[in-house]
Amino acid sequence: MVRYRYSLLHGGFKRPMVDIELNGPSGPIGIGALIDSGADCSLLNIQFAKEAGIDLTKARSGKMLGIGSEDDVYYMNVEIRLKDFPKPITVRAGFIDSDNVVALLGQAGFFDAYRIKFEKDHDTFEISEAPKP
Amino acid sequence: METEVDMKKQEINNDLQEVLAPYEKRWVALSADHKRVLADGETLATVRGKTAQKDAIFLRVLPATPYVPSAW
Repeated sequence: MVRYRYSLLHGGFKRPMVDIELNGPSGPIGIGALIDSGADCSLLNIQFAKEAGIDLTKARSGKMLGIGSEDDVYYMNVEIRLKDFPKPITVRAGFIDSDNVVALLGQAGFFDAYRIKFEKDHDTFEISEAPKP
Repeated sequence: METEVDMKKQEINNDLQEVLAPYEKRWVALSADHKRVLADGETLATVRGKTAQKDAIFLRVLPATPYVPSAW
């Protein structure tokens, strides 16, 4: 189990953020990601795919619903690793060309692989590997 | 009781207000301990090109506005 502190961002917002590596043919790239229990799946800025050498011509294109709009997204199975955990996991993630998205870790895949306990009352959260069914 | 991993996490700077505020709407490379910005630029590719550190963390600094994940 790893205990993290919420990150305090400008504007005074406290958010549960973790460092991950996105693995691709060009090698891993470190990313500051937000854990988002309200997102159905993980979502990454498309620039990370380009830098990691992930070929999105093989992706399934689709839509993702945000506030006030439906946006084009390219879905791929990708390998990510939490920096404080040894083993990578595979998650189905959407890549989006948006200036307002960095990296969100959503329910599908990520929350299946990890047990996450938010303790906002003292600005911490815990992550542990989910037990195998 | 704190574990060894908990102690490790204490070395990470979690107060990013002053570190990131000057770089709103820009891509940055953050040092592994989150204490300083190593490089910034208009695109992730530009920032990666300026960053020698293999353990850097990359992100785009979003505007200081509230975030809501979906339209539910």
